[in-house]
Amino acid sequence: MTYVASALIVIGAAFCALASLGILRFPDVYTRLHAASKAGPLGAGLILLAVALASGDLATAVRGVLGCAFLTLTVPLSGHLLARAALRAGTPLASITSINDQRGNG
Amino acid sequence: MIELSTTIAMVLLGLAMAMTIIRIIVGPSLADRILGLDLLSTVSVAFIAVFAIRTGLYQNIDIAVALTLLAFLSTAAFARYLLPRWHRQ
Amino acid sequence: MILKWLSLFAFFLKELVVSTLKVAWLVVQPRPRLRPGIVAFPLTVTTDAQITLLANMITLTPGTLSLDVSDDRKTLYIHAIDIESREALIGSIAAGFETKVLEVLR
Repeated sequence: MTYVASALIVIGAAFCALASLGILRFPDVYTRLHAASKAGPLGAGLILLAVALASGDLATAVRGVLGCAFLTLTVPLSGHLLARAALRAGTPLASITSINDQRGNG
Repeated sequence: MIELSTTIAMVLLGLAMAMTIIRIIVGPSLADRILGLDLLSTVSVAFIAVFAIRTGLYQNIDIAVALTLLAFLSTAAFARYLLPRWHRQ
Repeated sequence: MILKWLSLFAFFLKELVVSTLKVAWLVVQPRPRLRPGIVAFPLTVTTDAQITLLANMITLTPGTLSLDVSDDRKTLYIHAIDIESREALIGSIAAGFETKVLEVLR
């Protein structure tokens, strides 16, 4: 149990670090949103699951699983809201963008 | 075992926070900064959870869950603020 | 009914892990090969609940992020991080998520 929890903690932290690295490296807001809205909640969710495993207490375990579920539900939602707002506010796309079906501005 | 893994995790999460803060400072547009704040709160949730495991103070999980809620609401509010229609009224 | 929700949930979890690994792989490459673009996806789902569920799921499929729904609610604008071709992307979403969403919410 301890080993599984430890592995989950390290993998989750690595995903969080990768999300931040993606935010730093990708060329525009929309590609950065890809990194933040996928790797971020998975990393934090894995760590919350590790809490649920390591605590050995039912009340804490329920909170950990609940937090994990909440995170995977809300972060993509806020990512979508932010992408829509950025598009309507006219945030520029990266120059390497290949296809653009969006005509006009929202 | 837990000691070692939480140490590694805290170093990784600290690096993640530093990179996110660089993006918040540099970020060319407002949307970049909002995105940075959103990810910073997600990383903070992870950090609080790791801290809870390391110290055995599992009450801290409540703080992490509340911070998840707060992060979603604040990003939604910032996204509303970013919409151009909002400024015109 | 419950079985179909569970099948959708399992598919969703699998897609979440796959998409995170794909984005993580893009982040760690020394020179990431990004071909981002915005694609208009013709919707066959009609009700609000179906569109919401589909848009949320698309945000978690490998390398796609739902941006906006047109005013007549017939097209969904999707931002993708690495497009092979427009037709392949539209085909895979229509065959994967859209049919599953239609099975659950009819």
